[in-house]
Amino acid sequence: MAPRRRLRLRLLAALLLIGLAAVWILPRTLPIARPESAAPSSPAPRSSAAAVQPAAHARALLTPAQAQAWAPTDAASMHARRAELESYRELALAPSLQAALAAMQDWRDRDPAWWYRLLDRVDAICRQQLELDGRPELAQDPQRQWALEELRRRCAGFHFRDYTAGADVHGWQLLDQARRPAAVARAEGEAAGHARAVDNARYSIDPEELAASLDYLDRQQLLPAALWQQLGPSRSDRDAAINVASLLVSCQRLGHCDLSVLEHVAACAEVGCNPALPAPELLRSLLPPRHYESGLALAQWLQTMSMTAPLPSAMPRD
Amino acid sequence: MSAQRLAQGRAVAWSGLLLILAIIALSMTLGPGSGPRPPAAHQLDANNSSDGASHDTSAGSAGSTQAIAAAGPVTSPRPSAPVEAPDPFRQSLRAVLIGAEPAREVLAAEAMWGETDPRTLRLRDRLDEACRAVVLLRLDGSTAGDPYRDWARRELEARCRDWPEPSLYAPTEDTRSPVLDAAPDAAAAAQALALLRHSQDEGELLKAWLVAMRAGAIAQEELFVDGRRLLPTESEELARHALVWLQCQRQGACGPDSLYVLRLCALGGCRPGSHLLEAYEQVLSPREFQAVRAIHDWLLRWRHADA
Repeated sequence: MAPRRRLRLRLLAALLLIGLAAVWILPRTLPIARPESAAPSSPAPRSSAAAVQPAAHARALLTPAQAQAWAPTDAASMHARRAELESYRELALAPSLQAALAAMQDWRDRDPAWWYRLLDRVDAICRQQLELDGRPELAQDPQRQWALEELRRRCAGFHFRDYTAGADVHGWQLLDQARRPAAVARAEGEAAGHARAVDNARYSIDPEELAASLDYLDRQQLLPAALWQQLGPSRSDRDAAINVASLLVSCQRLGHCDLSVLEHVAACAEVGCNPALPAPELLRSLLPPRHYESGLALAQWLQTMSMTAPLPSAMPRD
Repeated sequence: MSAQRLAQGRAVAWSGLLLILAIIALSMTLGPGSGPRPPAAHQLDANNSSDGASHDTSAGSAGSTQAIAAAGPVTSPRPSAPVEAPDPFRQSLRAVLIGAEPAREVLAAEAMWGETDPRTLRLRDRLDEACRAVVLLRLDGSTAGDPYRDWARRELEARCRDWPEPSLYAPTEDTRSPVLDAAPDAAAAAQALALLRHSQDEGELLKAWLVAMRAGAIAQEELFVDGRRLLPTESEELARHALVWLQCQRQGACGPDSLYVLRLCALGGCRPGSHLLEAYEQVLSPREFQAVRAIHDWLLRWRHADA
């Protein structure tokens, strides 16, 4: 019986040790039960669009037919763009729009279409300021108030009619519209329309022009399909991403992505912004994550493609 | 013989000791929270609500900004589940929200309460609202092949199969008479606050929210820590989301099978299987989502302040 008893005691001791081991080890190895509520409240995973792709990688996203459309642009176009960029930048940062426009009136004869674009841009924003001024409740919002005050300062003294007396404004407007890729394609053929859209996408600083060109390129299937994978085929999603990309690219080319830029001030007067945030972060806070991420990916791809030729702002002065 | 008995007795004692140790080990291993897993925020159901079923529209507990401010910190109030008698309306609403045949439920409600009964109208509104998304998508020219919308649209189409196509007209603040924009008086504000505390009707709650906002009866500095202020039009859209969140919790209809979620995802696009909060995170901007959460938390706090 003694050996049997010893065996039994050993078995009991072993079981005891196993029990103790279970007490110490299992809690450390079991997955920690988290309330599921943590999952939806945590931010959605952001895509890895942060790294700038090399140009070769950006080009690799294009099909051969697309790559042909994205061939390098000639230098003359870049020269013209540099002057546009500077005038646009002056307006974007000018403390007085009226004074800035007065100083660049030579554009009226030099390039009426571009002059109209500048005027129209300022007019739209200053009209918006007047409209917002008619809504006193906005002034009670500290996140709008600062922007409204800034808009009032910049728009003081601006009157559209001061710059258009005796002018064929409708003619300017038509000239401006004729420069849009779709209009160019209608007038000069598809290849010319494609070239204009690519040129705008590469060098334009105007978010509206950028958006119109990217929209054209998308509809012509001249943007890499891979960029849309996370967005899906919805037209409204694509439009949103194109608008985001246009804003990001514009502010990057402007060299100012902060809230000193006229368009950013105007947007903040409209929707309210925390002035402590930089513009890209602000944009992120104002958009559904998928739209922002897709817009950012498109903007980064576009900037990389633009770097295959020197940017207008990097060129020496005439 | 006695020695053998002694040995057997020792063995039994050891076995008993081991059993006790095993029980202790088991209980320690599983821990104190070893019961059913806590419900996720997006899965909180009717148990999470201590809202009474009454529709007390009196201004008895006349609220004020101070009263709201004193309602307590924004935490996640999870009061213990009250024992409620089965409520036929809530059962019908839940069946409309997550059942496979919502049209049938609405027709049954019509037969039970009559076509113009407020309960029937509420059920009808919920279904109309969801089915309107299908019409909107069709008019928008949206086609199949969108992984973020297709799953929700297909399910909505199936649920709306036996339901007449709803009108696209759904009045919002923008389309209402400007006369309504006049700031409500103190009595109207107090009544709105009372409704916000007690009403269960989404439409009624929304109107009460807007009245209270216009009257300045809800201190926005209490709502938003970042100092923003909502305009009435923004407030309506965001409050609508917050009320949907509140109602889905109450009805246990925050999952991917809920009409609330299906509508949101069919229109805005979400990953298949998203729950309400996950859908909001995808469809709304972070700023909007923060605002919805702030309004939702305020409503919960306000409704539980006197619970």
